[in-house]
Amino acid sequence: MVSPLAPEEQELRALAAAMKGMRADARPAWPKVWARVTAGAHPAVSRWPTMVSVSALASTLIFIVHFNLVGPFHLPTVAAQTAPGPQESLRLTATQAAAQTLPVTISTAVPQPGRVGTPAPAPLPPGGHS
Amino acid sequence: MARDEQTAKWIELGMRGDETACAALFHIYYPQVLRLSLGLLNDWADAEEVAQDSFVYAFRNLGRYEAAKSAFRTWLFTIALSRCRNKRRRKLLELLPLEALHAESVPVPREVEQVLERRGLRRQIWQAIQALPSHLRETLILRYLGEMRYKEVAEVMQCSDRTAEARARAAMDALRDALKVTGDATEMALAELSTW
Repeated sequence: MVSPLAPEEQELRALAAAMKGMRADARPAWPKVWARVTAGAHPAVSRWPTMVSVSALASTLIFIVHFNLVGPFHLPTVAAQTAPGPQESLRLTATQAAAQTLPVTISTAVPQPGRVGTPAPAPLPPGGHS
Repeated sequence: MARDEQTAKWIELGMRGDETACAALFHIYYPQVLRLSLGLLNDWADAEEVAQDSFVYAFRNLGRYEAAKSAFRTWLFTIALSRCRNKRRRKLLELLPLEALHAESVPVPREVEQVLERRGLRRQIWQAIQALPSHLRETLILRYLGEMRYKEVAEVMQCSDRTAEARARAAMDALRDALKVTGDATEMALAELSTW
C-alpha cells in the first residue's frame, strides 16, 4: 500500500508542476549564449593564442633569469642589510674626529741605512763602484 | 532514436563546434537549468544570467563531460549549482544579515508569483523554501524542481545517497515547521483583526 504524501510534499510537487508551465523560452537566449561561446573562441578551434602568449611569457622570464638581467633591481640581501651603509661608515666618534684634525707631517727625508724602519741598501756587486 | 542516444550524438557533434547540435541541447535543457537557478537564487534576472553562464561553460568544456560518470543533465546541474552558490554568496554580502534571514521579508519574483496564483498555491511555500539553510534548500530544489532521484541529487551535491535523502527529510521537516509558524501567525493576525 502506498502511503499518502504529506501535505507539504503534495504542495511541493504542485509547485514543481506549476513551475514547469512558467515561461522559459530558450530561443531569445540562444544567440547570446552561442555568441559568447564562439567569441571567447571555441576551445577546440583557437586555444593557440593563449598557448603562444603563455610560452612567450615563459621564454622571456627564462631569458631574464638566465642572463641575470634583473641584477640592478635585486632586493638587498641579508648581508647587505647588516653591513654598515656608506653614511654610517663615515660617522666618526669624538676621538676619531680629533685624531683626524691632527696635522699630518709628510717626511721627505732620504732613508738612512741602519735606522729603524728603513730598509738596508742592497750590497754592491763585487768589483762595483764604492 | 532514444533520447539518451540523441543527446550523446549532439554532445559528440557539439564537441566539434557544431552549432545546431549545441542549439538542440540548449533548447532541451535550458528551461530546466533556468528553473533550478530560479529556485536557488530567487531572482529571475540572476537565474537567467547564471543559466546562460552555465551553458557557455558547458559548451566550451564539452570535452570534459564523461557520459559514463553521470547523465548530461546531472553534469549541467552541477555546473549551475556551483554558479548559483557563487552568485548567492556575492549577493548575500550586499544584504543586511537580518534581512537575509527573515523568512517573511523574502521577496517572491513576479514570475513565480504569477505561477503560484494561477495554480492557487501559497506564496509562503516559496518563501519557506528560500528561508531554509542552503544545503537543505539545495537538496529540496534539486529533488522537486529538478525532479531528481536521491542518487542524482547526491551526485550534484557530491554527497552520499543517504545524506541526500536525510537532507531532503530534514528540509521537509523544516518546511513543515516554517509553514506551521506562518499559518499560526496568519491565524493570530486574523483573529486580532476580527476583534477590532
